[in-house]
Amino acid sequence: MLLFLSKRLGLLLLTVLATSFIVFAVLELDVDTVAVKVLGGYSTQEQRALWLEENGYNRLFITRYAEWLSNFVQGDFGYSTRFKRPVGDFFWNYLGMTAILAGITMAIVVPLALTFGILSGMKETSLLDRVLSFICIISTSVPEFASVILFSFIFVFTLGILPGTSSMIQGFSWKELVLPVLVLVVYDFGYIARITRASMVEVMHTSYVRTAILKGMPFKRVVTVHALRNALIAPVTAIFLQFPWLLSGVVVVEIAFAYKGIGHLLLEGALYHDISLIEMCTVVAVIVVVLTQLIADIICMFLNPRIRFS
Amino acid sequence: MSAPTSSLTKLFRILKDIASSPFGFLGLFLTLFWIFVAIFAPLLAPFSPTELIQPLVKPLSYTKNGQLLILGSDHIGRDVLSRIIHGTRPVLFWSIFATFPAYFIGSSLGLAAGYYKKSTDTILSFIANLILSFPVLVLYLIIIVYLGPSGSNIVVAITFASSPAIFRIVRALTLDIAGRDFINAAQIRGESSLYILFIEILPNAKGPLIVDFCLRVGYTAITIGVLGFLGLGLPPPSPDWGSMINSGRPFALFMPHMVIFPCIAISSFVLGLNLLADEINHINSRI
Repeated sequence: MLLFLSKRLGLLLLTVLATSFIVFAVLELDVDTVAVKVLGGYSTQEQRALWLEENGYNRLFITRYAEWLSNFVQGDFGYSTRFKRPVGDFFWNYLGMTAILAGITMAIVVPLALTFGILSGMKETSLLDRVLSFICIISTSVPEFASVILFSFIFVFTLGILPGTSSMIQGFSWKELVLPVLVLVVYDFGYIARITRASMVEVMHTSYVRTAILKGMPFKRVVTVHALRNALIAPVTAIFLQFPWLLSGVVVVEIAFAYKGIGHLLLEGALYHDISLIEMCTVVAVIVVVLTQLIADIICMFLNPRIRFS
Repeated sequence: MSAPTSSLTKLFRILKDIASSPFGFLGLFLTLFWIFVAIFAPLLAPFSPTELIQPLVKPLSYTKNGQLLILGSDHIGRDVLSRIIHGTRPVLFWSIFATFPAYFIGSSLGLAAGYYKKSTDTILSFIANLILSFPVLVLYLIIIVYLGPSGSNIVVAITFASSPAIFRIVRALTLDIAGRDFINAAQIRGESSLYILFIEILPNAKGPLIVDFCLRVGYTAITIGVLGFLGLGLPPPSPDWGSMINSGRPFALFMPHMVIFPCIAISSFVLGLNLLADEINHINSRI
């Protein structure tokens, strides 16, 4: 098990390293475009050459990558040309805001999706299953930007009970969190619920569950004691694999509601060609993704003894 | 019976199978409806999508010239219904067209990795996992910002971001199929690897792939919508749904029809594809 974990950790480091290399190569391999992005399109050839020379861009690409990487590891994430501040100064605040959004969303999505999935997978093709499955399909079909519009229309314009922006200008406000979280929950829960349902259906068809039912055990007990534990392995993986999905989803919601999180930074960085900011956002996003995958692996190991003892 | 007729009757039987369940019927209906609208867009739309009629007309009301605008008009006076109808073309075209190269690359490499195994598999899987560890939207943003927003660049971005997922599915299916007896028989017969990959293995993997294709076209439509919503979609004159929502958003407070109808359009299209995929999946698992 230790061997498995250290192997996974090694692969994880390799992935982060390789992705950081790709991002760096895409953004900084061609030094002329870097100069244009930093100095603007109206700079002269001379100014660009001077700037490149001054900032060490005329060195070998691989040397520059090594320097960037060592700076990055030591906590120097470069200078944001958009915000005119070092990236490290403001990035963590934004990341924290996104963590709050994603955390609350997951805290609602997971119990909701599991309940939906278990209830509908428990009795396949029953009326309850049909209705719940249909709700889940609708949830996965409505794009976030559409639910942003629909929910704003209902709660902000028609009922007027929620604020239409979540910029939190006057300090942190729970009320401003409701709409972004609602949109993300609707966007996310259908998929997990469907995986839970599929897994539950499969477990309900196994012979040990049938035996339990046939020997006259109450149905509730069959589900909660016998079926549930095995049915949860697939959804647990799915829940953790949802994080990259959630991170993508967060971008749209943050833009739509002017929420100050990393999705906001990422789009801002992309639109204004802010190289250091894009690099930071991408590397952090990749680290979040691979870490959640590692956690998923570890949890699966505990749920499934066949993996634990092999 | 000749081959084309038998495949046609087969198709009809499958369609009948799908339509026999209410959700499958709804899925088939919505999908075919939008395909129909896309094909006959110029005949169905009452106005040109770029014609300036009269700004900010509410749905179901008349312009000064007495023209009925069923879904109203937008902030510069274009008919919303005509724009939605014409918008089916770029949305459907690019979402289907962008899914194909992703399938071509993803399934070729998936077949290779699953069939040859060993170092081919290790290297290809590592690359696929590498790409998959980027959140997709981050990938799209970097590619689109780097290459600039246009239809063909959306195809590049989607190919790049979706082929690893397709690769994984095809690889897993190939690993399963490659161990069966008929593949062994083909190898002993001395068939070439290409023949085995594309004639023996791929057709046997088509069930799950068709389901995934339907889902993926839907997600691609959403992606194009998201890019349009973020202002990175197809260039302005083209009336794609995401860009319509993006440009109508500032007016959503007092003119909600400008954004609500495109939202309903894209949701119903994706819903149709999802229901269809679900039903095909049911039928596959019954066989």
